[in-house]
Amino acid sequence: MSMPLERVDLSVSIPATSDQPFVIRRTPSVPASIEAAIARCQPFLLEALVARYGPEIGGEAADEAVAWALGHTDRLGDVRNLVAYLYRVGQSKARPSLRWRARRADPLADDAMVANVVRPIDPSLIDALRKLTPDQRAAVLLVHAYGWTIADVADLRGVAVTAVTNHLRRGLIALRKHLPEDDQ
Amino acid sequence: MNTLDKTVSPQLALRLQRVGRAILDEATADRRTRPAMTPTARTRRLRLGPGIVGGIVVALVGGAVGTLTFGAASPRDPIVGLVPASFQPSSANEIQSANFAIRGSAFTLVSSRGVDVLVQEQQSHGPVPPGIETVTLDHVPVVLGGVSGLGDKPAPFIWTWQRERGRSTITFSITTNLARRDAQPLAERIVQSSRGGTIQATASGLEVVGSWRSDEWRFFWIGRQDSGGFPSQLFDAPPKLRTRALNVYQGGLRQFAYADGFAYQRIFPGAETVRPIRASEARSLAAGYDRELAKAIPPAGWMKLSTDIELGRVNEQTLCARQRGAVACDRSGLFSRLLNGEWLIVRCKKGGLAAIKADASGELDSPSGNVVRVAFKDNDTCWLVDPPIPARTFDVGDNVVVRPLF
Repeated sequence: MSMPLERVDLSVSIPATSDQPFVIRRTPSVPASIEAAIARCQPFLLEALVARYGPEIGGEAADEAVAWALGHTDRLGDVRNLVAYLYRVGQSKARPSLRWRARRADPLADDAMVANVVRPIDPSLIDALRKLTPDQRAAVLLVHAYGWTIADVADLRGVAVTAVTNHLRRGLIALRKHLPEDDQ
Repeated sequence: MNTLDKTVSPQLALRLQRVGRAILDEATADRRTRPAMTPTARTRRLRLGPGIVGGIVVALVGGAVGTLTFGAASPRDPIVGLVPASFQPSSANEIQSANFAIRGSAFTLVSSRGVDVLVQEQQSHGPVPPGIETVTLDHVPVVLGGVSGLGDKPAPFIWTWQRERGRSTITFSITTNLARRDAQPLAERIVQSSRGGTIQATASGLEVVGSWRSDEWRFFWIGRQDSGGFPSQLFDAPPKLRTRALNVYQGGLRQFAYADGFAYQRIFPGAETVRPIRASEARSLAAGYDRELAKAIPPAGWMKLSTDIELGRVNEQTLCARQRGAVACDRSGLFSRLLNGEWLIVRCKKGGLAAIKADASGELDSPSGNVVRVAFKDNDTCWLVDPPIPARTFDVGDNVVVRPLF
């Protein structure tokens, strides 16, 4: 069991131009209410769950986790890392969706929206991402697509930083392996 | 500090960001505004998961009985529905108009091994508008359905069901104010699907009686009765409310759950009782819809959930569809059994939601009825069925006796 996690006070601003990376900054302000904290966590929660479960299941899980949070605000007062807490809730919410398939199925690979909408954007990269393990892919996406720090990812999952580092490193190695050389 | 940033080339980082953003956009895009997916072929087969799938009719193309329409706004939100034979849209405008009226119709398909749905483009009614695909059923043992309203016509169909104890006989009553010729094809299809059965004309419409093998899953749905159109909140509700209704609870869950304007019912082999959804789930659902309502739901226990029931004055027409054990009904003829201690979320006549709890002292079928306590209301009047007619008005905290309607 990891130590209690610090409540995340992150805010994300997404540049208007698509070629610019995400900008993440820490904001020291404390949310005025638990509802405000939930709202602030929502984009991070979405990123985390989508990176792990794909847009279809992850998006729904994030929605449900937020709904759960809004209905259980009384339980969230002592939670120090709301994103990580709600990530666990989202995992539980995602579980029924995975139950129909093989539990260890790859949501990103099975995700029709990824196949039909996202893949055309960068087919080789999507195909390479699909070949990563879910943990590796989540680490790669969170760190390099959504700009999370490794420490944040570790906090989110309640694992050691070194574990995330390993996932990330191995994920990148696998990614390069599956990407055409001139594509890297 | 992310020490591994340097291990990724700027080009790869940019591509990852682009893909990551696209994935995120897909997750957040409203399915109603999401661009329709282009069919890869004229015909393709969808595999809908085992159990129940359901959704909203958002589009209408074709019109033959048995033709399902599928709004391909999102593959995770299969949208099909059965349309009456009489409706043969010939233009996109007409389709759009019909969409407005028909959207909100519920559908449910049940199959123990999943449902194969063949998606194919129908050319018989002209070009298919973007985002609309037609679906015909394949390998679906039973398909029933209805529409809520065509144009200004109110209440084409009302389906009720009854599963008698120890039998696998299911009775459908089609109370319709549509012309007989419109209802007849549907009734015939029911009979056909049920591998035998009868169609009888009754005072309230057509009654279809069919028998099914007890080892098969069947589905039923109850169409809304409203005076045309559909409740706007249907589509304003959070996606989770819609998708929740699509979830299949495996393991013999026998409860029907109402969510987001839909009625879903599942009959399982040997099912004689219903099991409510967990209060925690209902709370979660309600939280995104009405936070105050969520607070009114007890923290534990079981409840029925319905954001659809629009309680109103009970009239003779709805009473004719009385059903054993029903203690509450709405204008659409939707009956709910309310067991002792169960909660029921209802929509008040003039808006707002209310949670009522059967604080029953007697048995469900007791002639003395159950005591229903109005636990929450949203600055409005909550109408409950309290025979005799007319319905009474209740306030928060009122204890009312709701008698079984038989």
